[in-house]
Amino acid sequence: MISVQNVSKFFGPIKALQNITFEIKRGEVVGFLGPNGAGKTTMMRLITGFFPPSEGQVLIDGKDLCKSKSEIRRKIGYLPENNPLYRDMTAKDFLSYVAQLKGISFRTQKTAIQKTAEQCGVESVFNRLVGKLSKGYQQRLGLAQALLGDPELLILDEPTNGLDPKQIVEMRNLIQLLRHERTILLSTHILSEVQMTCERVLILNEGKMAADLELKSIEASLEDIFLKVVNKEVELCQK
Amino acid sequence: MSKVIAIAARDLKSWLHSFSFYLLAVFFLGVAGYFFWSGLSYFSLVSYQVATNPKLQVVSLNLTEGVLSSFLASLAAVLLLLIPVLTMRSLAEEKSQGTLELLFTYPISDVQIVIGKFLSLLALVFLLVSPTIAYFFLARAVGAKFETVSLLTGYGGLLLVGASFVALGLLMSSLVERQAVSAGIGFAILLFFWIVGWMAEWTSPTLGIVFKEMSLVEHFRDLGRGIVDTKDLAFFILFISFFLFATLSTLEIRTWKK
Ligand SMILES: Nc1ncnc2c1ncn2[C@@H]1O[C@H](COP(=O)(O)OP(=O)(O)O)[C@@H](O)[C@H]1O
Ligand SMILES: [Mg+2]
Repeated sequence: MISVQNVSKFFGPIKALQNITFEIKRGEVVGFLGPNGAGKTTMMRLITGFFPPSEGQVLIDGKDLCKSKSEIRRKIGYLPENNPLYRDMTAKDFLSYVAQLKGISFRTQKTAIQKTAEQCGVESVFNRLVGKLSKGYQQRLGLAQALLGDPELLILDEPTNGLDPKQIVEMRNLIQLLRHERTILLSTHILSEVQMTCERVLILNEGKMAADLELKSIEASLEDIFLKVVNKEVELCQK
Repeated sequence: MSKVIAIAARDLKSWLHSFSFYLLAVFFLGVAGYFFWSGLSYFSLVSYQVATNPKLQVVSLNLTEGVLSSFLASLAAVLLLLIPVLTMRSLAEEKSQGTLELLFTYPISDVQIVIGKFLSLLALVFLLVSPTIAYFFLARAVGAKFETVSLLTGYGGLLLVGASFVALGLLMSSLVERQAVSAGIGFAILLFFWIVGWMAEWTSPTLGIVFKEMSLVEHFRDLGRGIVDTKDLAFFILFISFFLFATLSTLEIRTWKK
């Protein structure tokens, strides 16, 4: 589904990503780990077509993102870091705006919004202003905008960031429900979350791929592995 | 196209739900009303003098020349002040709250974003300006009849000037995230394009022609009198396209930190 080939991204002198290569198969749920500034957000922005790579290419279903933009973007649902939302709209207006921009046909819009809102549990706050919602509801709404249009691929950048423990559990359960028939790439700082939701983990460190592991295959705790990888004691790319 | 309209409608709604728009509208219509009234009463004073003084009978007076064009020029000057305040939020706010990242990853193009933003601001300007047409109907009630054709060309020209201000303001809002700064710089640059024609007199003849051709006021003058010249239209369209295109290029770079 996703094929990242020798990708680098530079911001002036800053090398945010260097020569990254990996593949994610259809239906895989992959955790994306790495210390702050490792380049996770940058990698996700490349996959969503937010900006193009400086070198290399990103293919989604074999197609270059930079070439057939609209067609590929329709397949991707993206929850950016910090969950940006239009605070001056009601939740309902916001979702119908997103539905319009995603090109969901006028006739099916209402059912699509209804279905997504139910899935994410935001119907009860439909008529409230987004800016007045609690952090937990805002996060659900962010997930709802990503899910509109039923994308096959979900890119979630720290979806549990800033939530309280109860909200984290709710969010995790929600993501569990979404995994059917979907490919998910999820970045987080919570290692247990990866262990509970993902089958595979990618660890990024200082802009380089430091580990690519099936979770089944590891014996030590993920925490040990993470620390070793980040301190550059080992490198664990299976391929 | 429906996506462009969706973007334009969202921004427009957000403005119409805000108190500040009504504050601006009251200010604008108040100032416009004052200009109109003082223009009209000055005109009636002059025409009274002309009518009673036989020596002045040779001067032909007409309402379009005497009232309409100077009124529209004053409105344009007020818009010069107001439009940077309307445009400063447009892209800067999407950037600062991060929603531009959503727009950039939805199946829409940067062109659609820019056109949508442009149209919403144009609609706002239209909403501000169009009520002033009522003044001319009021004037008709007291006997001042304006020609409909010059009225329409004049207002068309005013909208073109407004659209030019909007295009430049949009570029500012894509470059400068601090909204007050964006409005300030936008105002300064607009002012330059407004008065650059006046500087023509003090420079060499060749440079003078260049300055005159760049001036928004010079190109608005004939339209404000109800005269349509393709050269003026071409100038405004070129001006608008240039700044919209520049806005588009700044969006395509996507180099801001977040
Ligand atoms: N737009 C940008 N301009 C300049 N540097 C950037 C930009 N975006 C990210 N960076 C830099 O790239 C590196 C990776 O950042 P990021 O992808 O946000 O990491 P993470 O999401 O893993 O915390 C950091 O050093 C960051 O400062
Ligand atoms: Mg990040």
